[in-house]
Amino acid sequence: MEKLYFSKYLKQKDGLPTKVRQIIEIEFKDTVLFYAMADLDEDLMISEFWIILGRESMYTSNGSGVNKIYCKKGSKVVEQLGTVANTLSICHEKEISVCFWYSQKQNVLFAQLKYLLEERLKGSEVCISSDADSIYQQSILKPLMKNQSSSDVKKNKVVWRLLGYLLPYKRELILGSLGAICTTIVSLLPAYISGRLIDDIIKPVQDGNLGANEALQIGWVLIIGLTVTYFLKEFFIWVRLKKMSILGEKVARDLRTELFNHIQRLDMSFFANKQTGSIISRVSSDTDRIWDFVAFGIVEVSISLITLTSLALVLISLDMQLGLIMTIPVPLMIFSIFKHGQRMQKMFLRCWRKWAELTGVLSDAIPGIQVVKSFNQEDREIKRFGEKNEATVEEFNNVHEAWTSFWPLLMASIHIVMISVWVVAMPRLVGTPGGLGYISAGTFVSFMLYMTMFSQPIEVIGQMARMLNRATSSAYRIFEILDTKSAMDESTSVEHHKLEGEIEFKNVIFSYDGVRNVLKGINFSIKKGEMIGLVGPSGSGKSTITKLINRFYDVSSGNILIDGKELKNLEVGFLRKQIAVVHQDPYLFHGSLIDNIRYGNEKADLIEVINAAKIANAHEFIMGFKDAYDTVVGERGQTLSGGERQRISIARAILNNPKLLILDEATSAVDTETERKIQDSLDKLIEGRTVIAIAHRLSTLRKANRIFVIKAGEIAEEGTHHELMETKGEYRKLQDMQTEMFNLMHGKEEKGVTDVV
Amino acid sequence: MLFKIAKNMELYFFQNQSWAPVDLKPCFPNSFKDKYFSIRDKDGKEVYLIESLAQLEEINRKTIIEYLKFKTFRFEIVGIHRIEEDFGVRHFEVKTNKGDRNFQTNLDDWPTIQKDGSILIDDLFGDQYCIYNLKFGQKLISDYIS
Repeated sequence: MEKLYFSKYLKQKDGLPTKVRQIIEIEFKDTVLFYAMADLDEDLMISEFWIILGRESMYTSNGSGVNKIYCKKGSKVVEQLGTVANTLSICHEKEISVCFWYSQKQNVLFAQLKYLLEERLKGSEVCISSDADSIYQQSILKPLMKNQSSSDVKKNKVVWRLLGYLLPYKRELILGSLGAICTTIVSLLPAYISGRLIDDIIKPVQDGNLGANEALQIGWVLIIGLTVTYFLKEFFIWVRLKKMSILGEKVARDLRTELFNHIQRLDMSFFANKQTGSIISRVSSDTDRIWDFVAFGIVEVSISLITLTSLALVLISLDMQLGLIMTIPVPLMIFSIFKHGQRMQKMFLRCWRKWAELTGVLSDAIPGIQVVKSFNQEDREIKRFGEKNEATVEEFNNVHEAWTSFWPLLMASIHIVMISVWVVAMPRLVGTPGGLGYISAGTFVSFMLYMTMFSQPIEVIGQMARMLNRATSSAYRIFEILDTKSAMDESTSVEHHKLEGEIEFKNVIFSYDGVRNVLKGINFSIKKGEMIGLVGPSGSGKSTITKLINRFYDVSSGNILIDGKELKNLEVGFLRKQIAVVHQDPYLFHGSLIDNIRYGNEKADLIEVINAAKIANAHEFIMGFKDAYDTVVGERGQTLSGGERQRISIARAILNNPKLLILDEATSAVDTETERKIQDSLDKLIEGRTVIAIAHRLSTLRKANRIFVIKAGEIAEEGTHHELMETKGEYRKLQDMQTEMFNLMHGKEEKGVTDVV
Repeated sequence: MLFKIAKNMELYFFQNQSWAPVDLKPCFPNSFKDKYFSIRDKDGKEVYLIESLAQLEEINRKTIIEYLKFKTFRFEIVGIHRIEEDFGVRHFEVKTNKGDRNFQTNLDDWPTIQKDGSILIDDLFGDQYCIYNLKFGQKLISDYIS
């Protein structure tokens, strides 16, 4: 699949040329660990130049020959970033050893290359967990894959797969299809009956060949027949619409359920690579388009094709000459409708764009009305809105211009065909009955009525081509997610282990992108009931450690043991149920407070909920709300402050009774008073549990048994607060800085008070 | 005040009797291309603000113009071979002043018309493409310009 993207869309080689790899492996006896392609030269012309990092050395190649690059001791890597063009060079003092030029398309690879080169120049061992080809391909394709369906199924296969979802509903499908077929057949009858009325009754009566009473009797029978066919037609339409729209709804429901269930089971790396909006639109609007297609598309296209074929057959059988005049232009008409549809689609795109600009002004000006008024800029906003409004109208007028010109033209061409039929038919109508080419009035009336039925299926087919395109692209996007497999191997994760709370990391290395190691050989062990503080700068790997314990990701290498058991062997759901995480910015779902507190333990008693809220210092503020625990929060609900939401999340954690508690900067986003309240509730929560607390404010770790200082993915220091203060290392530095900051603020406050006094 | 550029396009600023590597950031990269450039040290702190290229001495102006050619480089599209939409992405196959190139944009990302009348396109990778005069493919792009 990746190869297809490279060859069809990117026009870039999908990997290092084989010849280059062979030279490195055979002549230089080295192994390719990583490579990148510089796609510009120093004149910024588009080019192809390979940079290869082997296990032993670094190489460059223009695709044929290979050069080994020697880096002097003390060299450094320099990156220059432009709007589009960038350079990466290796410099030694003021001398540039080598310089590569590349566009943003290669940016991810070059960022990785920079990191690897820096590590190597530092003398660190470069550890890459993926193979060079997949790193290269995935890095280049990542932005494309994020936006585009990665399904490589052909369009017709997508349609077949989609139709497979109809199989469980054979009854509805058969009834709906029968309804459609019967509608088509019955629709053909009135024109035939009308012809018979004229030829077998009206004309013989007018010619004096049939008595009035006899004619009336036959006429009533035919009229009753006509009435029955009209009723039958509406009945069959009702059957078709009812069965197929319900069937479409069922298929859309099945897809939505399957999709949502699948999404819930995907690992975190999937969510890291996809935008939330994109996932939501696949579950909502994409499945809705499928309903459109199943409910109307399949049947409408089938009916239209059947109708057109039947009409062509009926017309030709009624009269070969006139039939051919009528049917030969049909393919041309269908093609012109299809082309018109394509043109309209592009025009509508432009309209939607203009419309978005217009609503953009609205969503700027209305929420910002206070600013508009304060700066007396009403006229400016009126002018801005007026300009966008005009531009939108102009674009829509283009659309109206297009369709109002096309349809009369199409109808005119249909009328020309009809007139041609009249021109050919007229001499034959007035000819001698039984003579050469004679056509009866009844046959011709039937013919005319059939002709009027021709335009509708043509129009429907034109519209359905667009619907089919939309539905298949939606199906692609849906199947792409359904075909995504979790990156984590859970085949051995079966053991339902009741946590004691012991955790051990053995030389754990972890990388999100397979290249840059966020954790570089972490070793520690935590005893049951111990409280561990994790401190260190942002991006040092503290949160990653907690994510690995929760098994949101698997380690790149090394082992994590929980109570002496391999984490990989424990059943993930059962494990996570016993771990509670209190985040800096907790998420509350739309619903009542009681539902949010009971989120992890639905069956908890009401008194347990109240007790949990009391321990979390949440009960008092909850009781202050009109609806107390039934207060609805989240979207469109009661607004809670950061501290209140935090205490609800702590109550949720308490109710879950976890064996392992992770506090991820739980108090860093609140004021001092709220922090005190939260800290108080946390103190109650941590009793008797193993706790890992990440904190920037070191004061919140006063109860920690041990503190790990994490720096650049490694444990820089480890010990109790007192031990670390005596070491005079990173922790001491952080502590001193925070004390200084506190004193400074405290001093300022005092000074402020003095000034006022 | 003096500027120089290294071969790897690293810009150096002579100040306090020594050369220091700096970065140059145009304050108005799209609207006022030749006015206000912030010279920033390696810690991202502004060390100097150039009001306009005209204020610079000849030697510095030449250096900065040379540097800007790299810093604000965008591919200029001179012809469009093909534009195709395929499942959520718009594919462009174009001829640029630097050679043939393919790129992709989101279906919701539209080319924008600049104050000078040129068209600016941002692709999915962050590369930028501008159109001043097309030798071919005008009809292909016209559908996407609002």
